[in-house]
Amino acid sequence: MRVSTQSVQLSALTDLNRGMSSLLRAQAQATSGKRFTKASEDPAGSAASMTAKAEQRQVMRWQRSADDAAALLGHADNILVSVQERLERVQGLMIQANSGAIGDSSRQAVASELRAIREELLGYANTQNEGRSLFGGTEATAYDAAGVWVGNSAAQMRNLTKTKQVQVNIVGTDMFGAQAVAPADPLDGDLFQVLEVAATAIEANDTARAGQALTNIQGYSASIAQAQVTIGARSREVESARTLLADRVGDLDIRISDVEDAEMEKVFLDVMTRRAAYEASLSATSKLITPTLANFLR
Amino acid sequence: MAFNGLSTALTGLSAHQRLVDLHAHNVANAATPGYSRQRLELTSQGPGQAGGIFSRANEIGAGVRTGSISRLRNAFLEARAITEHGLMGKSTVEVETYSFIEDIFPEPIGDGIAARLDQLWGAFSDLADRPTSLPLRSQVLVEVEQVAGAFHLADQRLHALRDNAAERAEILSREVNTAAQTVADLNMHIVAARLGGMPTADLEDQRDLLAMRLADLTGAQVRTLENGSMTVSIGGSAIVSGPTARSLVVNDDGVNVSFTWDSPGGAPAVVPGGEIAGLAEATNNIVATYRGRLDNLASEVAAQVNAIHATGYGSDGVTGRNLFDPAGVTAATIAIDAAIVGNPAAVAAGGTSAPQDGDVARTLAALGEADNGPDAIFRDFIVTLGVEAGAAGRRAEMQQRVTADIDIARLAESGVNIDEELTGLVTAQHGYAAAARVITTVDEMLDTIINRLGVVGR
Repeated sequence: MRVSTQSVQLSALTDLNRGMSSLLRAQAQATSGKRFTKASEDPAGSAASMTAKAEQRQVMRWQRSADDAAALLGHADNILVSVQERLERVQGLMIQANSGAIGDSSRQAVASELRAIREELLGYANTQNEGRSLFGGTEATAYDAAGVWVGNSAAQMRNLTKTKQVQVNIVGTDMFGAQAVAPADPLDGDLFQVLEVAATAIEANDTARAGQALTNIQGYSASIAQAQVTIGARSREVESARTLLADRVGDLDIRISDVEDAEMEKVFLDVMTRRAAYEASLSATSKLITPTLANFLR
Repeated sequence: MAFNGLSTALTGLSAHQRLVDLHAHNVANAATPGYSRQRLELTSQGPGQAGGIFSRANEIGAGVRTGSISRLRNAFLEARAITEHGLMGKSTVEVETYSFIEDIFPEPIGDGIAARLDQLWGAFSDLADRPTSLPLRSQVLVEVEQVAGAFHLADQRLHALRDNAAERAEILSREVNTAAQTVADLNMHIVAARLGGMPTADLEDQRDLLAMRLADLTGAQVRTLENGSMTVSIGGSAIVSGPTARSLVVNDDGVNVSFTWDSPGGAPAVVPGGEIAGLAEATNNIVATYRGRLDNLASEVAAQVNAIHATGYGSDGVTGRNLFDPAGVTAATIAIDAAIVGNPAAVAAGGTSAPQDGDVARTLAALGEADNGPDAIFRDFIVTLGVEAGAAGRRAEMQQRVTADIDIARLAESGVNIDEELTGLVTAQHGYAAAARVITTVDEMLDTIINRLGVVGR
């Protein structure tokens, strides 16, 4: 086949360009550390990478929800422990008052302490976490100042995974009772009504009514203990979900890296090989292009 | 018997002198683009007129006759190169266009629309957990505006890409028209020179170079007529015919690019290949397709978010409101609903008017993982872009290889080989010296006759 100076030049130049661009591609992988930087370089890999990243961000949102659920449940648990403490004090006071061992003035003191505890408990029932009522359903207030239920029974849910949700609130009526319609006898009302009845009965030294009130208060205490058990179960559920979610974030990090990141050993080897090939073709070209017959004629 | 050797040697001297000149011309043009190496056609000269039946003329020939100068090029390779250059121009522009579009959407590695959407879902998720927080409602409004902004930016950049392509087609069409006019002028000169028996090789080289440029730009096809004139046609209709050229006109109506001829005015033209066809494909097809897909994504985002949001209640207890402006949503027009701007209380979090209800915000946050949600549609968008850009890239690479191979083959045929020219030069030099020696020899022979003959007995 005939060759001409120009065809030799073009052919050498085309080959050099190919070697150079192949070297550049390897170099780009080495410097970016990524197997591809554009979707066209690996459409399937891009899809996998985008899916994994979206899932990871989703998992991180679930983590935030789970953290919030843990905080809310922990807060509710602390509050209920305090409530139980106060109710034990109430029961002790009432047993003491009903035993007949104390005088009128002491009974007055017990009654006013009961009223103070009632106020305190009402405050606990309306506890808020970052402005969110713990026991009022989706309403901001659970019980008004008169101890009347103004919340609702809606559940507040947090997503732990795509399919799994956890309820983070205990509806106040499950623990403190409800008084949607005022009952004929306040003794049948909610905890706050009953406490008021108890205080009045002790003032009046009505031991039968005070005894009845004590029984009802013990019933509410049992309901609250039940709620504490529920909260404990839910907290464990949230904890295990948090562990799983943290593992999942790590797994997805690995998966994203598998898809996106270049294998460094291979990339460096590629760069070295292509560089050697490029240098070889440069040196061969320089030997081919320089001489003509003119170099050898006298 | 005459001393024919003198005149024979004279033809040798002048022929070799011309050979040296021609080799000098070839070597001088070794790097000239489009130059075809030239050859001096030499024929041996016979022994004068044919003699009669009984008379014998001189039996030895009368030297060398120098004929015309011819170009050495392979017409078949040239024709293939014209075709391949047309295809390459188009595929190169297409792959460039895809590469620009990929720059506009930096996924999967960089952060673009996908990241903005994710921020929006995150804002909904946070609001779902803390529905009583007014700052988190404001955050939703900010993210909605960010999403709209990301769409606007991508659309503007696609639009600018379209405008650039259309403008470049217009600029290149001017180059086409200038080149076509020059080819027509060269046609005139070549036909005239041929009639006058003048050499036309260099003019033809110049014309072939322009024809190749026309093929690069428009996928033009070329035919050379008997009289030396070249007809250049684009999409089957002639842009250059003999000494006349037409002009290709690029029309841009802001949406599509179309082509017409200047004469007869407004006649539609078809540009089958070359960079200009690639640019038309980019504006009319590639960019338009991706703008359509982006519009579709924008309208899906607005519709899906609005459909859920309208079922919820703002913290002011009002329901049935949109988050995105629902009227005629495209990537260019997607916007936050005017009624909700600066009014974070209007952002719906709950399915009831209860202040701590976050159900609707939770459903909105779940759009990010929905099977036909905006994220899934956008992923599909990016993967489709990747597949199409990759295919265009491979097509262009293959076309470049084919074109380079053809170019190498035709340059091998038509290009100057310096070794060959030097060898020819040495041959010509020796030929010249030998012819000169012949003259000396004849001179000595004449000297013998004139000065040595007839001296006997002096």
